[in-house]
Amino acid sequence: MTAYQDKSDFQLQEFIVNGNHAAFAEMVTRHTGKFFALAFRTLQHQGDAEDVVQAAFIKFWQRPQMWQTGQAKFTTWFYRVIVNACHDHRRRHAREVWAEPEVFESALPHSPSEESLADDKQDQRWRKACLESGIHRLPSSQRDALNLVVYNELPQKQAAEILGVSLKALESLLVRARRNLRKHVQGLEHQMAFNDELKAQPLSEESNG
Amino acid sequence: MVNKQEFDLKRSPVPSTSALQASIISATEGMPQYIQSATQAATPANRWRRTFRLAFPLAACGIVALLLVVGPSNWTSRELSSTLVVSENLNWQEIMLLEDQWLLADL
Repeated sequence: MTAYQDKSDFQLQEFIVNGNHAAFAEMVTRHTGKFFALAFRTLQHQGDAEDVVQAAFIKFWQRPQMWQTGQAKFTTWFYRVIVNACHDHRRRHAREVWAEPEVFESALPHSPSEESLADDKQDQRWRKACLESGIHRLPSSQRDALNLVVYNELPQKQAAEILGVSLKALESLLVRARRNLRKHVQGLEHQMAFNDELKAQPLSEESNG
Repeated sequence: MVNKQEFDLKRSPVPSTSALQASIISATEGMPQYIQSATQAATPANRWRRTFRLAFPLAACGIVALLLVVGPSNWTSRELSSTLVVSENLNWQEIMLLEDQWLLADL
């Protein structure tokens, strides 16, 4: 147990402003998990998420007074920093990684039934890949709302504050995000089922003949 | 499967961050901080300097605003007074005659 574990974020910042690296290390240990989770969910890439979180923490170490304690909680402020950094990163690197949502679909196994019908794991993997591709296609505002509230389990009020929208607007973003995802996954399922049928048809004709 | 009442949003778990934490901590060890501006702001000399730097543009804005507020009312009163002077010299009979002519023309 370090000497700073019982200190609040406000107190830690005072130490950090005075160049106390141990207090900064405590801040990093305390919060990295949730910030990385958000970046990872947003960028859908481990290396990029690590880069974003590390860069944000380094900036905070260099200029700790960037967080003005009177304005918001440290986590609220830093979530906002991470959200913006992720947007910047996506804009700058709108290239290789997930530039084309089709990357997800091409990475999918052809269909859950095709590979092995009974294999639950395979089915789950397929569904998760569908979901990831759907999330990638969402508008950034809907994706951010979903990541903060559903995956980072933040209260809606805090998520709204982070995104700079009203509570009502956040609720509507979440509803639309869920609806779009459901539509996307169902669409992929229907497409796969149709492909399976097409593949099965010649076989049944042959067997009939 | 997907047609369930509650749409399943479960995603893959997030990777561990212990390596990332260590990396951030080691990267910042010995790294300089830029907190001079904060300490500078705390000294009285810098506070005065900042106040003066802000005071000049503010004063200029104040003067312009004052001119805009006070100026037009003066100009208006001057215009009004000049029209009043003119009105004293008006020939009311002539005006009434003209009005009568317009009325007749309308009829």
